[in-house]
Amino acid sequence: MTEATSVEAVRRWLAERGAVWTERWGPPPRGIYALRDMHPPSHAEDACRQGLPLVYIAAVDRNGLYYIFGDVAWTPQLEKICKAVTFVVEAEPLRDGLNAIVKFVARTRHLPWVSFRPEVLRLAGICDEVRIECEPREVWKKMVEAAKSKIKNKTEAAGGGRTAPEAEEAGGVSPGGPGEDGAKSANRLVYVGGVGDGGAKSTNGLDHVGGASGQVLHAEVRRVHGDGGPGGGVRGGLDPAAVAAVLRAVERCLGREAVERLTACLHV
Amino acid sequence: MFMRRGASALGTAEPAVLLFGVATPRGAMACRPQVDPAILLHRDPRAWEELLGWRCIEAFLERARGVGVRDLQGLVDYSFSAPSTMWILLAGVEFVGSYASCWEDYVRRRRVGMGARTPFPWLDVGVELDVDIRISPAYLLLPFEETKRTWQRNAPTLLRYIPEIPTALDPHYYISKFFPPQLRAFSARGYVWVANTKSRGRRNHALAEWLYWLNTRRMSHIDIMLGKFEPRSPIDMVVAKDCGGASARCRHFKRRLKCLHSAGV
Repeated sequence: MTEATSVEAVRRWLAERGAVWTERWGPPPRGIYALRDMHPPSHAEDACRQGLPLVYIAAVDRNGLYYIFGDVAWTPQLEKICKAVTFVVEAEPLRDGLNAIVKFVARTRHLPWVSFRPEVLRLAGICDEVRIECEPREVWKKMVEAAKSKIKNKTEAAGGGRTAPEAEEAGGVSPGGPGEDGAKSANRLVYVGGVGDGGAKSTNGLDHVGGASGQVLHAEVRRVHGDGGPGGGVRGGLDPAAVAAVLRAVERCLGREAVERLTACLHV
Repeated sequence: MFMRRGASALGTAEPAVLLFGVATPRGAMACRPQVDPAILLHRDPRAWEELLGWRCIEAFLERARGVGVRDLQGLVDYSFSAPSTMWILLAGVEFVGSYASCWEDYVRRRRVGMGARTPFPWLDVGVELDVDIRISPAYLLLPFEETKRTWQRNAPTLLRYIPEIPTALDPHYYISKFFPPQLRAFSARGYVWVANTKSRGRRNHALAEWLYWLNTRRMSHIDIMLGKFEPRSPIDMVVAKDCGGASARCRHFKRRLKCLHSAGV
């Protein structure tokens, strides 16, 4: 953190929060850097030459472990050209302390959650608040793809327009691997929703979409069913291509959470 | 140099209460685990009690209270759902005993043995699989970002389906969801069978461990140590019969365990 998060701003925030902190000139102690991709030291050199200090917040837990928040990982080469100021803050209880600092840094530095190390986000309880932000992006994409594929397959199966092998082929990637008697039964649909989670089977593959962040959605789906709605499956009139297009548009315009809500709402 | 001290409002930490065990010279409670750190992925509180003991559990709980963990079940759940955060939480715990080096390696140096830990009996099944998974589920204890290269080199089959292993957020959930169903189906043939299939000249012990962990949420070598191995087919009975009580090491097995040879199938 350099000029954008001034020393005074950190000081004021800590005071407002009533935190216990120690402020000292010097590099941060050794610890766990909370940010995932930090700037290389060379990026700080210009700011340092202008006399601006590098600002670090070091949250310390009761066991003396430091969680360091700063833009640049401190290296000995910075010692000659940069001055640093470190705020050592007591994070007790750990989750609340870290949570506040992570949110403060994210807000003042305009950082998305993905900029932080997943371990720190988890310890800070951020994943409990906005779980979807902690889910791996690639995994999430796969879930959306799987959901789309399932909608497509189900609709095609309901329409009877194509045979099962054709539908499977159209489903895209067939997971690689050897042919084996037990494996033959595994098709795209099983891959989407039926892969056992310790034996727990779902009657509706989509209520898993979005991971455990779908807890609320899950309840919502059940409520809709209880209200006399269709007991799962695709609504007859929905065109799969249209659904896929809508999902794509919703994802682009409104974000992933909206897609998740929409797929749950359609209770496919 | 200290320049300023802020106001105190967060309260100070309560001193740790020593209920069990003895205080070490550094004031921390010594923990004497009887198992490697893979137990952190073993969702069975009884196994924790039996193999870690309450001295360790109290020490772990003491550190995990800051993140809202209140009891053993909560600790087991937290650890299972966020394995790669455990090296942070357990920093400062004193380990003693024969497994201390495994734990020190994990907590202080962030090192965990990559290979399979389970002493599956040898058996010639004569099946070659096109699978490349040489990493044990125990490797989930390390942050994925720091070990990505290792995963890419040693578990490309897994990464083809799960490009980013969420080691800090319910890895079991996501891996279960995206684990190749063809491979998952092999568990019906038995874990011993899977372990003895070959891929590029190597036996698929790690794959068998993955299947066991995905099916039971428990580590197979720990279940074997406790005599709780859950057979999936008649061929697996040989593990329960011949390998019960075998101890496992945290590193790759250099010294073959007795049961590896004694189990005649």
